[in-house]
Amino acid sequence: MKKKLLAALLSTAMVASMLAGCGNSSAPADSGNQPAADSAASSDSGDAADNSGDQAAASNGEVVKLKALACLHSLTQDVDDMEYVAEMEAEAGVEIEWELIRADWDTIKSTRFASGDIPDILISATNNADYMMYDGLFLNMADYINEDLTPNIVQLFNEEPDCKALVTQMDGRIFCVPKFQGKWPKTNTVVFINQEWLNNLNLEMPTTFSELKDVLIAFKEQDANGNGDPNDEIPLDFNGWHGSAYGLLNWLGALGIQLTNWAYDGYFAEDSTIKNYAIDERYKLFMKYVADLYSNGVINSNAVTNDYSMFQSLSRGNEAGDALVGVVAGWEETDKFGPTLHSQYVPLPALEYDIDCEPGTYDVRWRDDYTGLNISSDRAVVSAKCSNPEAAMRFIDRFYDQTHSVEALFGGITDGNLEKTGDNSYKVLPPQDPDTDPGTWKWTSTFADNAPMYIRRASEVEMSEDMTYALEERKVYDEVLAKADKTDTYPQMFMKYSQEDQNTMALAQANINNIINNQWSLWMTGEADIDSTWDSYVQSVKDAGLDQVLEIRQKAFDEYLANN
Amino acid sequence: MANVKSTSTGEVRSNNLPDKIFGAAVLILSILIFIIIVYPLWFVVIASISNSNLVNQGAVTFWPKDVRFYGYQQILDDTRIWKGYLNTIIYVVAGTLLNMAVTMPAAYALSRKNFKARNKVMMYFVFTMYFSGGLVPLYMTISSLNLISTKTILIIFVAVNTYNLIVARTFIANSIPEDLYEAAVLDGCSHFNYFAKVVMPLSKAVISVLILYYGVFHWNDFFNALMFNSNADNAPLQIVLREILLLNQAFASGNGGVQGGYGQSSADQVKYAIIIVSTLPILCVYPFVQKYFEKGVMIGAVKG
Amino acid sequence: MGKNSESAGNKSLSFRFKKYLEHNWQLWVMLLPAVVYIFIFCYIPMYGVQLAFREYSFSTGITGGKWVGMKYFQQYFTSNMFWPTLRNTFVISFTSIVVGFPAPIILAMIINQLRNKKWKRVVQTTVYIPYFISVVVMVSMINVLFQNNSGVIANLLKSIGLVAQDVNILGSAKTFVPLYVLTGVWQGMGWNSIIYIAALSSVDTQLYDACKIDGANRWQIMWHIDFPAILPTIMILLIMNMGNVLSVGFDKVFLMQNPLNLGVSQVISTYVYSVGIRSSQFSFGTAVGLFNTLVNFIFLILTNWISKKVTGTGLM
Repeated sequence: MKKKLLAALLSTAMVASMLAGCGNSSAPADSGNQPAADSAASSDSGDAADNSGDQAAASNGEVVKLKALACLHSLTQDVDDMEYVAEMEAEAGVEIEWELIRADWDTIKSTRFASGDIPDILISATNNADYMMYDGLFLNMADYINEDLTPNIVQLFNEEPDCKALVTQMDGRIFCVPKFQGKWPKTNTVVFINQEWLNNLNLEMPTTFSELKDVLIAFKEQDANGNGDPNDEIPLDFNGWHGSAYGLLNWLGALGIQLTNWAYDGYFAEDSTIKNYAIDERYKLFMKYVADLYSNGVINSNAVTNDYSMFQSLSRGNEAGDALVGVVAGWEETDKFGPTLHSQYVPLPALEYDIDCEPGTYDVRWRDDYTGLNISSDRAVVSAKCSNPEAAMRFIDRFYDQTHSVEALFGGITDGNLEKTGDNSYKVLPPQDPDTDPGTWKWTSTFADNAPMYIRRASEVEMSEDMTYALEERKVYDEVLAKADKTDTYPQMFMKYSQEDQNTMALAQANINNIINNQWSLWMTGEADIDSTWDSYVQSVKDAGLDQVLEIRQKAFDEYLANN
Repeated sequence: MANVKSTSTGEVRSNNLPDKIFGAAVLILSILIFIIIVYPLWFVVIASISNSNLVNQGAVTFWPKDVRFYGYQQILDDTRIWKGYLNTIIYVVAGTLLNMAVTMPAAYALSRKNFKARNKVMMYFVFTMYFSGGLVPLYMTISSLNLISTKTILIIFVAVNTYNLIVARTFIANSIPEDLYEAAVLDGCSHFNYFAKVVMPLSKAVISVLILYYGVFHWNDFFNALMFNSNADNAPLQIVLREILLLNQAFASGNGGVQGGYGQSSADQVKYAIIIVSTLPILCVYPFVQKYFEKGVMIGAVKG
Repeated sequence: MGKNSESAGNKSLSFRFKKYLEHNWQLWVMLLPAVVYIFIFCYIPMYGVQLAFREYSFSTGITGGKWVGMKYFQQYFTSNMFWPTLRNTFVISFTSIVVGFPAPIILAMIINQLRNKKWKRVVQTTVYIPYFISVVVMVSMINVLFQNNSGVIANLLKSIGLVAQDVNILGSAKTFVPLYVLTGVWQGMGWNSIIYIAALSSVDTQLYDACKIDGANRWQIMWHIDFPAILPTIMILLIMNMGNVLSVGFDKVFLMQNPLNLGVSQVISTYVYSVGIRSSQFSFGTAVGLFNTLVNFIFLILTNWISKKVTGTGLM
């Protein structure tokens, strides 16, 4: 029995599925890439009169019944309980039957897609690979995005051209609409240091790598938290490595490597050239520094094996309420250290690299995640089989309305979660459940970050305390972050690849990752010597197909630069 | 026979030295195994009521620390859970009955040594343990039968499990003496009669094993419910628990926006509490099944 | 003459068929539900296998994609991950079988030999509980209990010298396989012993008495009566286990993977997953799955053949 279950699970992972004869290769909906406004009228085979926008439909009193599926955060309440969604449905003249997915959509998705079994609208349920994989399953929205039908989406595309570029396929087709949430900070990560420990030991805030090392060693050797036990301090903790928000690679910036959007798989840009830091000489220097720290016993020896939950727990202190961690990265201090300990921690500014060289040898950088935190594609798609795509698009456009966008992110006005304080300004109200923090409340009461939305740059939103903290803490990086320009910012999500290139990269990257995800930990823990293994390591990464991947990525990046 | 003192279960008492050593060795081994099995189970119990931060730091070892019942509260406060229990019980009872009705007769047929086609039929079954067309064709097959998101599919799916079929067949072939069949044939007994009157009563042990296997499969089934059902009204317990689990992990995660600081110290409790909530009912059933494993259930039959 | 014998042959053929039906129709009726079920839910969807040889295309369906032959098999065989993943998968599953297969048999024998009824029942009802612990929780427990420095079990193992002091059990290529296998044994041993306990209950107790008269001790009785009695069950289960050599469950390995043990923990299923996560590779996944199945099937047939030769027990 167990075997059958395992076999089933295995087959999801492997077969994840196959196709469906669903044979819905109906008339190809893509009438090309002519300007959407022109083609919309002609492609409406049926009711051309329906083209006159939402007011008309609503006043006709003809309510269009649609089905929608939304992938929500597991905390989020039923969509039927969100007042503002009902308002949007009424404005668009539709009535929607919602199917809500809160867990394991990735497991189910391929089967449902391949079988062609999807509702009219899907919110936050797809990714870019799906549009190529299931070509013909989704509606080409390019034909339906126009001033009459979707004025707000048009406004988004005009005002934030990045968003339009993000969702436009190489051939001009558009399968999904993106979101722009504008108010999120420029970087995902703040490194915190325990100021109280520094004070206890009479230490200065470190500014360079060697100073940091000295501080960490002092944390380790002395009783920094002052509880009488000199051995319970963990000077430096981290979680994950390549592509991780809370790993140590944030400090690669000290060696002049500008990372963008978590730098998935190690790719970054430098003078318009795509490189991978995992085989960069500077990464070698960095790894030597990390290995040195590790051999001095200042890095948590369990950091490699701890899962995220254990990582979080450690920063919350011990039973007696003593802080245990000296330096660690996080999103925001109350989230990271809990309601009491957070006051001990302050942001640690970007450090300079000064090992065997003068500080200032390298141009210091910090990871820039602005586009990653504020823009995402795939917020909503429409089924190619949808009987009334105009109504579906009209409804989706309501999410992009100035006020509805803020409601979608923070909660509805009639729901009591948001207050409109002026034409262009809003105030997020405190959670209605006093036991809940604002972040959790947001995810409970609305679509939050999963929503299709366009928060105007001009809109003023007075956010909750934790978000205010988060923005405040990051000010220490503002100056460093400002150094990044077009030629060394590499937001991977904007790049376009052909299906074939995509497949080549997927296979090569799996092989590359198997090497780079393993090797760093061997170096750090001293199981492998960096100098003697570096060359063969670089060679094996190249053998796994890195050069090919870089070439494909370079081509796409060149196109991206040319178009922007 | 008369000069051997035999206990009711057929075990013979003796007091010689090798037997004493053997008995002691067995006892010590069983105690050792018991401890190895029990400690981690005890850990689940204490982890489900302790401060999760302390659990994660390894501070909770033998006794719970900073006791709280947040995990259980989260689970039991969720109204969906009772519906989930009810659905699961329906699937377990109806599903297992169907399983047994399909598996036992087939196992009997395949156990008949003079049934010439049995190896080929066996191959027909075994083949499917290894080769499958994948999920999408299966989904489409179920969909074409209009069974997606129905209670029916969750009852009839895996009506016969080849592994269990083989277990049952092996048992019937090896533990029911061939003489019984020959005697029955002489009495003019048909396969149906022989199966119903002789094989079933003599197979209590394997029947209880299969009921346990199938029952637990339905009880634990998460994947099929996930794939073939999207109607919340039909969701079994495991799906509900999964959602509660994810919901609470959300409290604990702080990834770029979910600043669920407040749940962190208790959220992981749910993980452990779920194991207890979902396992207890099955544990209560086991003793009833177990009594059929006692020695001697076969005695009367063999003599007959 | 020739005509006669032919008609006689026909007659005897149809006669034999009739006779066959008379004897066997009831057996076929008993098989029917199972056969029909398997046909609908296993054989009908099997057309999906051809995806291993086709390029996936949504608009044309499984049967309509471009035929590419062995392309996806080659992609796997020539990948530099082919040998490492194959080796890791074999090592994990063979160790699992070598250690994990005998464990429930021994446990069943031990339980069967316990004389104190109450204790026997306590042991029997406890040992199978671990089976109900989900993989996620199992791995969380492993992470906490084997944690370097603070894990209770890790510290115990180190203090009794089973593991060297400086070894990080969770983060070492050397300890991954033992940890994976032994925790698996812990979890499955009791559950898997149920079938043996049931089989042992059907041993004819008169045999014990007979042995006793011959002066056999308990060890000899166990070895000469209990063991042969469950041998057919053992062999059948062994054959089925061998038919799973390349099927290392995805979840547990995936969750137990960390950078330090990646060298030994990257197995076929996790590798296919890591390829597929970047761009859904249906055909590649199906091809690797089919390769898996073939190897498994060959092992099944081989073990079945050997078992039939040696012990006379076999699946088919």
